[in-house]
Amino acid sequence: MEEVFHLDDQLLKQELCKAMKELYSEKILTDIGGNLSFRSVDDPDTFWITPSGLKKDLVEPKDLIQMTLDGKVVEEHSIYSPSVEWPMHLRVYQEDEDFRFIIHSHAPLATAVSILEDPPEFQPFTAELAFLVPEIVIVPYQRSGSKELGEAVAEALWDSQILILQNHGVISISEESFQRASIKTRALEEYLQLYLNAKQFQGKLRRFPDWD
Amino acid sequence: MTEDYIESVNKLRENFLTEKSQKVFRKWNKVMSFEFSDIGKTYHFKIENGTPNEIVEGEPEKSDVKITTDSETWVGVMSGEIGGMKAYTSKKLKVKGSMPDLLKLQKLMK
Repeated sequence: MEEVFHLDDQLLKQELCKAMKELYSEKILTDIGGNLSFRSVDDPDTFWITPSGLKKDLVEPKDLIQMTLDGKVVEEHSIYSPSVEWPMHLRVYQEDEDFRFIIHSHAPLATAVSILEDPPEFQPFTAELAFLVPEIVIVPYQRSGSKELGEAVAEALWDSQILILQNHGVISISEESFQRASIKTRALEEYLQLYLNAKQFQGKLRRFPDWD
Repeated sequence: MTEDYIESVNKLRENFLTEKSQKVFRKWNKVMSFEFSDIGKTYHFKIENGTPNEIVEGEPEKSDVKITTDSETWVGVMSGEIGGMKAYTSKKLKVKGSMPDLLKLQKLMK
């Protein structure tokens, strides 16, 4: 008998942990930086988020915390608290029901850009990177974990679903999968690495010809 | 057929008016034009801060996004009978515009 593939929260929890371990091993997530969440498919009025204070590569599906879209923890008996960035995740899910996967990271190059007083104007260089990161958008600084940060992200995500957070890190949002959100995060890093590499040759950078 | 292809332009125009599109295109101040090569007619509409104006017959002074196709293909694409990408790769539909604009517009061509 043919087995029917069924997407449920248990499977997505495993996907989250897998993505988290991969990004941690790539140093895109650090011991102190980054958190992931997804909108529940079993109960779309809730989302699952990683806990606060647990080393990123040790997070297991049982450690995830379910929250409602009005910001309450569903089961209070967890030994962990939700990531302090839960208001930002919550605000994204409130903004549109199609937003389903979030990766907040401290990707090194993007985080370096986030602390520049006067960041350069980045141009698209290659087709693949331009497609994944059409625009580098930097969200003005708001305190980590604040509602205001969530509001600033909700405003900017209609311009780009991969955003640099000033003096903080990166948020990548996907309607499709953790894999897609991870790919966009890596593409942003690749984009910035390419920029740095090209700058070492000290020539004028050539904008991607098919862009305009 | 005349009404069909104009209706299909209007369908795209109305897709700008959904709550989600209004957020996505809120910074758009652009002109879209549609040239139907089989009947030799062009229509266009202006988008101001994401909100489209009425459809006007004729070539605009300047077009940010220009779609050139035949009326039958256009009706097929906008009704979902013909895939937009298939029409594009088979050169039945040509699009001129910047890549960021076209990437954004993809979502409305359904």
